[in-house]
Amino acid sequence: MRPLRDLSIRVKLTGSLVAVVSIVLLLSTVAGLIEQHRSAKVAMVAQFTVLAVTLGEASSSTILFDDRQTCAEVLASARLEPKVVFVQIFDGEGNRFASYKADQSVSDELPLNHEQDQVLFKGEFLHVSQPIELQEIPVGRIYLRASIKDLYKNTRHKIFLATLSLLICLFIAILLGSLLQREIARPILELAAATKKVSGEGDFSARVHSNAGDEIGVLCNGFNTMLDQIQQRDRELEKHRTHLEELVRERTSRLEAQTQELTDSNAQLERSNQELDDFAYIVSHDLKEPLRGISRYSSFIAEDYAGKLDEAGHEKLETLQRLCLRQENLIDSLLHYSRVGRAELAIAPTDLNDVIEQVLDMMHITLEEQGIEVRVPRQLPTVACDSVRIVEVFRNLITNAVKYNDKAEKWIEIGFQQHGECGGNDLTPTGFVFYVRDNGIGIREKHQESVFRIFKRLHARDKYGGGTGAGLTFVKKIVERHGGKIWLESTYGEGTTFYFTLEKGIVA
Amino acid sequence: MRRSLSLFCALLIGNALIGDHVLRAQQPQAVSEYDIKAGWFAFFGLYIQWPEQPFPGADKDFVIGVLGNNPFGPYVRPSGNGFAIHASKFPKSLKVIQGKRIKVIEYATVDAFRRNYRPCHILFISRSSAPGVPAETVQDRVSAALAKTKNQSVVLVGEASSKAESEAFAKSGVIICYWNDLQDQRLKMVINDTLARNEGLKIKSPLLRLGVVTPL
Repeated sequence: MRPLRDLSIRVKLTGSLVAVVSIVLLLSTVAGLIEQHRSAKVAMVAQFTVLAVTLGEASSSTILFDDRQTCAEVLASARLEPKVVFVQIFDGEGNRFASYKADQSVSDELPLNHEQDQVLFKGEFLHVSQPIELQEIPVGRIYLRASIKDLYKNTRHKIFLATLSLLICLFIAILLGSLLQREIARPILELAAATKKVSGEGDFSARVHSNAGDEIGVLCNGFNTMLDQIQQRDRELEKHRTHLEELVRERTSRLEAQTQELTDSNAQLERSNQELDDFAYIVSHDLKEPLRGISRYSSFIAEDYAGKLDEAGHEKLETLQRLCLRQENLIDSLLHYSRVGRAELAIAPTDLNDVIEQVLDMMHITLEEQGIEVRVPRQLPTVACDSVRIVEVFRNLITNAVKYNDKAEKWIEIGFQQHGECGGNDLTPTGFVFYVRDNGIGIREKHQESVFRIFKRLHARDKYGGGTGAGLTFVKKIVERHGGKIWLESTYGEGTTFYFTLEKGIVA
Repeated sequence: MRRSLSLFCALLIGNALIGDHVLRAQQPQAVSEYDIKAGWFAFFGLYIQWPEQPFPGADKDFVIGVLGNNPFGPYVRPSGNGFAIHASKFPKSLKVIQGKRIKVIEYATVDAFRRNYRPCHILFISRSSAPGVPAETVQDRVSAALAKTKNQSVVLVGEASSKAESEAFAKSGVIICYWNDLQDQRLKMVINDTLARNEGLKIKSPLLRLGVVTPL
């Protein structure tokens, strides 16, 4: 059925028309032929019954007067009807009396009981058996056999003619059908072509021309209207799109300008940073020189003039020396800071477990003294970083954790979180977030921003083991040099966690 | 059941009838001359048309007169009010011709005929004289019949011994005259159609065109 469904509507229309016409014609022709054949048979029956009766009556006198020869002469008049092939007369006693044969070869066998009135089509013949009666006297019977070849020949001829006319009608039907279907199918085909054009090429300017007022006309008009609307909408969309593009272009250019500005200011910033670093280096380097002189000379005074100075002099000299040391520390820190900002990083794959081991090794005396438990919940990954700097990061963080802890049972936890492991803070999507957690004193929220500032100390100078207050500044600088970020979470009095990332170059 | 029973009965009867016919066909009887001639009276009734009301009472009775010796014996016998023809041509006796009763009037002698003649449809003139009437000849009877039935629509039927005699009778006025063809071994007749027509009788062609008929 599939191929039939896929046929063109033109073929379908013509085909259905031709099919209907041919079926109707065929049925009516067949019915007509059957009826004609039947009525021809009825007519033939009537004709030959009458002929038999007439012949019977005509030959009645010959039977009564027992005149076979005359009877045969009477029967011979049947030759005028060429269809009659055999006539047999029976006398009153049922004996064969006289007969007529159209041809010597005709059989005189009777296919029916000649003593009964009968009309019968059998074989190629019509058989008629009729009584002969004159007034009340039964005279005899007549049997007549007529050929129905002509009947069948006629019927065959009629069938031939009917077939011929059927073919002619079919031809006319095909002709008319193709003419009619053109009227119906043309708009549909146009519609199909237009649809193909619209859906295939996206050409919405296609239109279908139909001035018919029927359903197809409505369909075509609807299609056209639809396309109009689509085109209208398209135009509007196009307008909006153009507008949008302009908007985007404008925004983009503005953004580009801003980016340029930012880049410029960034470069400027970097330059000034660099200058600052250079400045810090130069200043600290140059500052150290006189400081070293002051320190040396104060030592000289303390050694050479020890006896000449009184208690108060000694005290002041000590203070001077302490301040010198402190100044030196500060300058060292500044120098270090500027170095961190200046020196190139030696990035290489580094196993952080080694780093931690190294740090703990360096600090093991302090850790043992303080009785601090260091926890590393799982093996740390290998990342690309400058191992020396990262040692400094961990050392500073662990030192702070050790330093600012007043608990009886102190612990430090070093670990990392990977993408998907933590609840989605500032987590970089692909990288690790390392942390150093302690149960120390914690940092008040208002101070959480300023802890990274250089030389910023939250406590009295000598409290919690002192220090320059530059450690976290170094850490931040190193992390940022790696492209990472550092932040902290803390609850005052319960502990602090420092998080940092080393975004660049994650190896494992 | 009832239907099939009746069918069975019909078959039985049919068989009996066929059997009867076959039996008769197998045993041809020697048909007597007067058996045939008696039958032919009935056939004349079929093929001859008399004028309307040729004589009073002609519409009720088909009257056959017999002049001379009545040779029909068992073939024409009285039956009820009239007569019946028992010819072997008929399966049963024939009591009606042209829808009328058959009536036979015998005239044993010419005298009796001359005295008692009553109009009839057919007057049969016998070849032989009645027993005890030796003086009459066929010619006497013919002459008397001709004289008596002149200008009446009566079919005179005579008997002759030869064709020539038959033709002579016919010419003299006997409308139908039988003769025995010894060669053919069968009964033939001469019919004077001209005379018949003159007397208002119409003899139909099926009769005239028969081989056994010599029309004049």
